[in-house]
Amino acid sequence: MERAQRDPEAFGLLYEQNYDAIFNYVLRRMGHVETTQDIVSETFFIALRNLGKFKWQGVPFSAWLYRIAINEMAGHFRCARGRTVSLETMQEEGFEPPSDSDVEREALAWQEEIDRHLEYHAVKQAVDALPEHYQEVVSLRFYAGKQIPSIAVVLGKPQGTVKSLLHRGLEKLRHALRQAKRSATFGETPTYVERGRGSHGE
Amino acid sequence: MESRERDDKAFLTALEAVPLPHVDAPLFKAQLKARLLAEVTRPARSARPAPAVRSAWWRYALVAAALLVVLAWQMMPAPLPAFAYLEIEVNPAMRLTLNIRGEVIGIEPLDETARLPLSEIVFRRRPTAQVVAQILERLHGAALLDATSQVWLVVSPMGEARPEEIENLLRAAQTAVNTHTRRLLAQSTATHGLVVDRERYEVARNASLRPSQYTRVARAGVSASGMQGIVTAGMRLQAAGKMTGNRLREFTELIAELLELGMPESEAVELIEGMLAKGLGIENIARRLEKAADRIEEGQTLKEAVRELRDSTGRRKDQDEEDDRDKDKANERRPDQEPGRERERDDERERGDDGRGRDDERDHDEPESDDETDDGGN
Repeated sequence: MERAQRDPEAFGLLYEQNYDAIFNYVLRRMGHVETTQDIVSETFFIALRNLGKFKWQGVPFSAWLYRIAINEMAGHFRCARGRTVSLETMQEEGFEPPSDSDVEREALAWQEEIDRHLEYHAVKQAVDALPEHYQEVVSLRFYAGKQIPSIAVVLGKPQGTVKSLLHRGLEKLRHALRQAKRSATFGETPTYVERGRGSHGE
Repeated sequence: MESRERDDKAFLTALEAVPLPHVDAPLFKAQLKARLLAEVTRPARSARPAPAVRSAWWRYALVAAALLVVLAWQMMPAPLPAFAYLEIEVNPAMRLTLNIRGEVIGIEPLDETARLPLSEIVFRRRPTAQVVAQILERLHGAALLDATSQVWLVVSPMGEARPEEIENLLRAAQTAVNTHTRRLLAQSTATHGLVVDRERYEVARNASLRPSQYTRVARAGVSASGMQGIVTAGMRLQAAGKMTGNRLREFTELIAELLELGMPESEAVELIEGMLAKGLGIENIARRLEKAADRIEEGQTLKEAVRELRDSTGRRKDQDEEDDRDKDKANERRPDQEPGRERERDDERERGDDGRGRDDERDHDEPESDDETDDGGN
């Protein structure tokens, strides 16, 4: 972990291992590609700067990343504090990063893909309406596919508390979705109840 | 409760069935990675100092500080080992342990009287002269040092030491004693200094001899083995009940007196041992030796003086035997008057000496029993 602070190869490995999970969790939570990019960027920069502290926290590195991401999302932190190295500098050092325009085009494409997931949007709307402490538990369960022990580690809370929060959160979510169904926003029978499998899994 | 869990499970299953967006965003991923790696390779360009790097810096600083402390500790001069003993006897007596620089690193009383004056002495790593000054001041304050006092100083090396180093230590102690007694008493006291080799010092220590006592013996030229012989003879007499109590010191002093008169060591030991074996007390022998010394001073030869000593001891033996016979007869007649008879016998014993000593001894002699029980002030 300490080596990753100075060794690009070591940090690159950590990044590759965790990027997908963090990115998609943030994306599902935020529902917006650009915001997700900001938060994911900030999450990894914060992690990089605090790698030395990490070993004292006694949690898996991935759980630590989730915790940072949750904090960033809570504040909808958009400031790119960590971007201190210009693209010119990176190119001088031999990096060939994709251009901003390419990334923007990619973001637009993926935003369209996200927007096509209507059921997800319906659920997300209901999750976003929950109080924050329920949101955290439910979103880790629903968007990241985490089980109770993992959620407890990420949030630094006892499993019993997480279980109780999850139960109440789900109850509130169900109530919210029933209300949404009554208002007939998306069909008579919510499709998410009838589908056989999702894309989750830890 | 169970139905609630079932509902939750069913609801979660339904939620899990909702297809979620999954984005790879490879371009963004690559761009972000490039930024992060640039930060890794150039931590100094970070807008704010990375706490992780700072904590590493502190760790190095702490390690460096710890190393410095260890180095400083190792470079500190180790306490110098004990180099010599300096015994001071002013009645009381005490022993100082000195290092090679002549600093005092230990101090201990050699008798009960010395215990109190030494209790407040500040000595740790102080020069000998300074500690000697403190000791003399305390003794003077306790009325244990006056113009009539004699100060005995004995230095003995503890390990390998050059003679001049030991001589220097003794000289420094003597100078200190002279300086401070002059200051305290307006005159110097009689100061005797001696260097004693380690072997002889150990023998003397084992016999609990005081500096003044073994100084006299050592000055008379008695070797370490000779001193050991004296001590062994004294212990033999003690074991045989011929010398009661711990009188080794007095015994040694008697030997020393004979040695000072010029008698060979073995002969001196044999003479004193013989006198003690014949029942003479230490004090009695001391007085006889004193008189013999006086006679030698008046012109008698050592040989004649010794012969007289032996003769007087022989007559004493004959007298004792005669006394024993009288005693037995008296016991048969008047057993209840034994104590009075015993006193009479003691008087007769003293009168049984040669005619020259009779008048002198009448004034000074004490009953023999007193000799044996009195510790002689030592």
